[in-house]
Amino acid sequence: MIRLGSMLPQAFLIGITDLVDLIGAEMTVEWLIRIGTELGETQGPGLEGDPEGDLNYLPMCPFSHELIRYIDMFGERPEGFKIIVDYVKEREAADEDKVECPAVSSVLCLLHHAYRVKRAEMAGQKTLHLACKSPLTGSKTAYNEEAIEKAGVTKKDVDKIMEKSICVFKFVKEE
Amino acid sequence: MDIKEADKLYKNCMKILVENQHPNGGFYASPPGTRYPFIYPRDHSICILGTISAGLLGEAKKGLEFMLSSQKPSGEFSQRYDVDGNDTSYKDLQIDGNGLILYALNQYLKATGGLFFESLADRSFCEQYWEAIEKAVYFILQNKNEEVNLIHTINSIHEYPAYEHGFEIYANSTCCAGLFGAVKIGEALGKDVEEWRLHAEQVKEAILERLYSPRRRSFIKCIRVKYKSSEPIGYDAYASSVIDIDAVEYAPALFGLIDEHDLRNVNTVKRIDKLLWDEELGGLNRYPELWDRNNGGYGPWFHFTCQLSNHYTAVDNQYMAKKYLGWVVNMAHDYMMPEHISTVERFEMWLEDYTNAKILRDSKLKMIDLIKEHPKWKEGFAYVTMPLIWPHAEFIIAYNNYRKKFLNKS
Repeated sequence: MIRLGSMLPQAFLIGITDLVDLIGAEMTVEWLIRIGTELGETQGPGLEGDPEGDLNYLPMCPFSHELIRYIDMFGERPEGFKIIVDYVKEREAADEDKVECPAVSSVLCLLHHAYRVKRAEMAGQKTLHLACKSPLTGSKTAYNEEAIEKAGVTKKDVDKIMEKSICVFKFVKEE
Repeated sequence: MDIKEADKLYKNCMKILVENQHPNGGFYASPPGTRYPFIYPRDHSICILGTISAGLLGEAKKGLEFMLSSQKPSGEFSQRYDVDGNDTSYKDLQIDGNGLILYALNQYLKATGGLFFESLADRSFCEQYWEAIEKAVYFILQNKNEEVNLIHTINSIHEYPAYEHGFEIYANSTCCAGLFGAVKIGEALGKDVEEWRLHAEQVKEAILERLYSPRRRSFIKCIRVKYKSSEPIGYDAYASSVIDIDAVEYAPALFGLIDEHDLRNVNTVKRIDKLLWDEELGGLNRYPELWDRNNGGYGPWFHFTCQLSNHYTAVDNQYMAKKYLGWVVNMAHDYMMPEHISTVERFEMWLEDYTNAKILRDSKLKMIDLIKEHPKWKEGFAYVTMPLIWPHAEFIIAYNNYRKKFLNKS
């Protein structure tokens, strides 16, 4: 049940699925990226995550609780979310700069990645998003293989960190 | 207290402080390769106060420069930074950082002026960072609840929202002292800071009225309130008080908001000493054992023990000041101090609790290894996070106060 005081995150998630119907996946994706970038700007330079060697990781997904609550209420993988993730994967497959794309496992990775990229950029760093796993049970890990290669590590290195985390990335100082 | 040993510890504290300041100005919370190789505004500010007390004003200035340049666009100082001043925080708002930086900056300004404040005080430094000072003040005021005139935070000194989310005493004392500090700086620069003074007075009055319990004759820890803008706060989801004893209930006097001799403070300190002095190990615990959030086992903390010694020094109680500082001198290892100590038995109890609850994580497993590798383990002690830089700064401050009062040394 949604208590009124905590309905906003759920309203936002409903809004995403509605927007896919209203304006399509492409525009919805752009909208999520714009939100992430704008919020990143308000926070200033920053590098998130726990360091492990040259890589950084997040032990937990910051959005997992709200996402799971949403799925509990509206059922497994709403169509709107699936359309966005499929669209992004298709778009990235054709992207020449795939190395800079997020490893998307859920719709909120787009928002999060844009936020992380903006804050790192303000700190003079580029972001490589190597892997990510949705907090939903049974979901597969999403990798950005080009980013893994560029980071100078192997998928095995990344998997080792993924055993205790949900998202692995690397910050690289901009020349 | 063995004065020769205390002097040696003092000298090493200065060395540790200087060695753990990165060339960019940030003081590590613990040295690179240990548990906290980052810059935390809370620890960092106390290190700045330690350098000021030790007369290391160049180091203090560098530390302030680092922090004032790393402020977030909103005016907030983050929970944690890397050595380049990038925000690497992983916890929610800890607003005491804003208060502490402003307070430390004013202490620096005063120290640079000394007896010749008008001619010598480093006004140009404060002028250079005036915009950052303004933003830091506005950020504090944004978090002031207009119904009760207290500052709202999510975390405070123990980084423990369960007991600190709301109007917490350390956060309020540091922010109030920071506001008064900003007023002093503004006055020195000829700025109009009358509005800030009114806000600072309001917060001070609210601390003395709402965070003090006349029946207990003690300050209390926190008024728990979920949202800063809840009005009326009686309807807030968390609305309740935390009346447990906490070493930081001494904060109003520590940051100069009330006189050390004020009975409200004297009685609060009595309560802290009675309930938090560790009968088995000596030294001062930070809060009751039953909160059961005691990484490495429940036990006394060096920096809180140093802090409270300042009260006894200020009220001329040399016996108690010696008892507190003497414990710090005796329990330091190789003239260095950990975050806190515990016994092997208590360590095992904590380990059992955290293992059964499945809440041990990587960083804690590493910490456990280091505790067991420390030479004191074989003597029955758990030395947790060794060294932590913060208590070295607190010892410098406390021992200087003690020497000035009782040994006639400046």
